[in-house]
Amino acid sequence: MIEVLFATALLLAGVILIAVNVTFAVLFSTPNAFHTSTMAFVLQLILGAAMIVVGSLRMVATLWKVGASVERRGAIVNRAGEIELFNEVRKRREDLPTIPLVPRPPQRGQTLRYRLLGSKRNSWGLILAGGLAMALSALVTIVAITAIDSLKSTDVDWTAFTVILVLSLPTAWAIYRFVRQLMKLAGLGPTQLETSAHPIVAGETIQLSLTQPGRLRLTLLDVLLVCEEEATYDQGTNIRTEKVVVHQQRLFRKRGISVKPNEPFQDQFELQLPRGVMHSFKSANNRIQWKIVVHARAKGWPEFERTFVISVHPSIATEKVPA
Amino acid sequence: MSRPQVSCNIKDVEAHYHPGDLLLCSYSLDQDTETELTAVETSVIWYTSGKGSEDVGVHFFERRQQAELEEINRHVTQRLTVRLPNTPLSFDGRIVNLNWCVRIRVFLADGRQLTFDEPFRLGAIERFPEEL
Repeated sequence: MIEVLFATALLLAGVILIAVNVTFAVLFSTPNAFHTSTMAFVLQLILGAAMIVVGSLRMVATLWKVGASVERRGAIVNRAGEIELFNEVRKRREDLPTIPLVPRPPQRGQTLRYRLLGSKRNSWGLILAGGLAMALSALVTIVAITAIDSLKSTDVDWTAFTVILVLSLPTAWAIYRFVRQLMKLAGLGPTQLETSAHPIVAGETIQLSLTQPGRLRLTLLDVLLVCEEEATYDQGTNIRTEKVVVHQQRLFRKRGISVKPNEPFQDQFELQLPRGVMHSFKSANNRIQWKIVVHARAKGWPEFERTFVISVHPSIATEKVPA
Repeated sequence: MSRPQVSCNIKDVEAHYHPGDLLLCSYSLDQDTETELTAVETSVIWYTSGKGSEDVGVHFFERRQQAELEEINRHVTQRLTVRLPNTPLSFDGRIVNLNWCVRIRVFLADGRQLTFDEPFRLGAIERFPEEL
């Protein structure tokens, strides 16, 4: 956590340093003064840029350390297995119309046969929050310099002070959101979920393996099997989509888990899909989607949720699928 | 405008089929002499009902144009043999339902259409148990 905070502070300090320098250079330098202080100006710009670069690199390195270690191990093997797995799924699909392929086909696993690919992490949210935090910080710095400078003269720039007052709260909020998102990403790495079988056939029992890297103490870790009905319909000129969870089954629950950078949490458990449940289904306006949801809670943190869409096949149909 | 005098009798459709079963049924049309048919379509379809807009999937389809309607006009019973697919299975959900039926659509010379459905269930999907 300290690395992340340090990296963020360095990044923001770099932004503020550049903003201060550029503001001074633009607003207060005379041609002679600018000439004499050019060297200092350039050096400070370089220092600011270096702080931004080092801060960003440290941030990326911290996230990479937490997140990529498990992912990276099987990447090459997975690519080789991807085509074979995809063909197998496609063949089954022809025999089972309206059963959709999962959005991200599973890859070859390390502990069990298949590795499910979960919903993507919100990297864009982090980039946007970071961009907003930096832009607002730079703006407030520039206005603050103008305001402070106006105190030297009799004509105090009250407009600048008002702008600072108005912008200070959104800036603080943007920095807080950015740091929080960053720590959330750094705190809990990518969840790895592997299954002994995929697609999952109704009535069968399969093994699941959960690996959770990160650097947090989780108060609760839940894994749920969820079935959701989704209906899209026209309402006037709008198109609405309604989702209803129709089945929820807890597969795993554990409290008080310490997740350390080099010791990801790992456990195995069973998934028994009741016989006679509805298979995955997708048409233009209606959908029945099965998914495994990993839900984590840590004190003082927003809740973490990772979703893995799975394909459920009917047991009776599978018996008729030619080998 | 008087209603066209056409009735359709779809027979032998069982209430429940398993995936891959053979659906064997028959139908006959009964129309008065003044009613002229232009086409008859026979299909085995699934369709959704519930909250969402309706989706229809056609598993079997056959259209008979005017020249091929002689038998039907003579009220001869027509037979239909269709191998049912593995999915989608009939399902009664909370906002999504999936239904199967044999559908006979009759096109009349005055431009109107009449539809006759005979529903059946495919598979044995149960309702979801209560939330755990």
